[in-house]
Amino acid sequence: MITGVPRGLPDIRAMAPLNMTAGKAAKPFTSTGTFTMSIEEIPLELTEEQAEALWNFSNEVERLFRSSTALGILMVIARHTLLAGECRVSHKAFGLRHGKCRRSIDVAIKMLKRHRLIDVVGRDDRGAAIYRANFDALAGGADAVA
Amino acid sequence: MRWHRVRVEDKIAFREDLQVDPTLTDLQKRMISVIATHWDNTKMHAECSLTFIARGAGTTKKMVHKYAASLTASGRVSVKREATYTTSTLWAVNWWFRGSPMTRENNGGKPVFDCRKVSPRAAQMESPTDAQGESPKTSSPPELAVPRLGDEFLPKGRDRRPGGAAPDGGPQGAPKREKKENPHRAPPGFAKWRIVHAEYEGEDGETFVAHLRSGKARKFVLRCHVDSDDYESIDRALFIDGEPDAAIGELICMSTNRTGAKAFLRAAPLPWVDATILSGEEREDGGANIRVSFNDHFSGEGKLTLAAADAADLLAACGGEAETIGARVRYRLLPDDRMEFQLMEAPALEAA
Repeated sequence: MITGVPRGLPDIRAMAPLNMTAGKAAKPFTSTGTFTMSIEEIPLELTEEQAEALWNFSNEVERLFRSSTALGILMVIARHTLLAGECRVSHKAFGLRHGKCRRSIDVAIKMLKRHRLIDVVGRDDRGAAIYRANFDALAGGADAVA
Repeated sequence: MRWHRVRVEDKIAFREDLQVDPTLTDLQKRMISVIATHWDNTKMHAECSLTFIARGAGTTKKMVHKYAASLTASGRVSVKREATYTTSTLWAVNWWFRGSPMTRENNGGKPVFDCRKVSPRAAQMESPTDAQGESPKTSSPPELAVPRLGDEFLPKGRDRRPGGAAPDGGPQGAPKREKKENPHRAPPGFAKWRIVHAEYEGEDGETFVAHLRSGKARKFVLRCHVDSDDYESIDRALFIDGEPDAAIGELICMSTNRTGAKAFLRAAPLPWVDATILSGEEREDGGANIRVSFNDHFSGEGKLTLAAADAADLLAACGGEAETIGARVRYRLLPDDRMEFQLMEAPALEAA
């Protein structure tokens, strides 16, 4: 549908390693100079460009949504997408983090899915959805998110 | 790269923490977020008028005006300079404020005003003294309140569930009822009264008369000579100073003793005073003489003479003697003449 790079943003898709095992982080050293990498060789901290992109993305999304639950969930999913290419955090963990019940989390994620801001890219072995933030959704303007 | 620049990671951590803060409503979160979005990294403030915040948050200026006090009370933003007819309000943002539920739980229910000063061990409910030894619980202490990949967001130690389920598997939605503590209650031995009338009587005007009403509409007439202990006590509490009309309508705490002189306390703390600490020196008795500049419309300078306990409070609020100079704090006088300090803006750290 929308294939362009978001306005004013660097190309995030190039930064995010799409494949977890083959993806190597461009810069394992962060600006603090500490080496941060998890066991699965996924970087734990965003690089400067990724953080800038995530900040701009969250700024744009904040104009669309009023619910802080949806915004918080989207920021977690976007961060994990930038780092690992996908987000495997469960709905229950979102609920614990935000102090919201299961239904509020479901409604927020449903809204994000309807606006094409996140996509379900698969299921893990327990059947829980694996999400991926769609950074292109805002590029097309109103018709993309309507 | 300038040393005081706010990094984007700090901004993201602030916003992620803001979005899960349980003490703020969504409207307040949006207003704070608008201020944070328009932060100027070179000028180190955000210039946002109330109308501008209203437009960004999708509400009206009236609502922003109504909620502006609660925004500064949350500790995340503070007003650096009030708006004038030609300039907008300048807002300072405390980027290192952390108020997520996990932070609050680990900090005894209170938010962290500067997460750079809090060590990761201290965030996990260990005092700094016994955190020196080896801790088998954490091989690599996670940084405070910064969500990481693989975080399951579970607060450690307790079984806290959303929805307020009782720990013994009780019914959902029934929060555990705790003993309520009324923070506005009068101290023991005192009762609250409202002054409905006050005047000086007698041919020389040397008798002070005040008509008091309690919360249960009981009446009390205070009649005392201006040289008595009663008058000295109420004058110290209310600053009457020969103008009894100013005291009418005020709340006051009066001691409940039936014999002897009555003692008086203020019923509520005085309003916050916003000040920047310029310099300070310690006295022999443990107190401190501190020179401050007030951050109000007049922006004058003043001197504070702190008692030993107040000076210790100030040091605890700022986090150390070196961090005190240059810090922007606010303080207020509590009813029992103690002072309460709160750190608003940490001093500019030296270049590392």
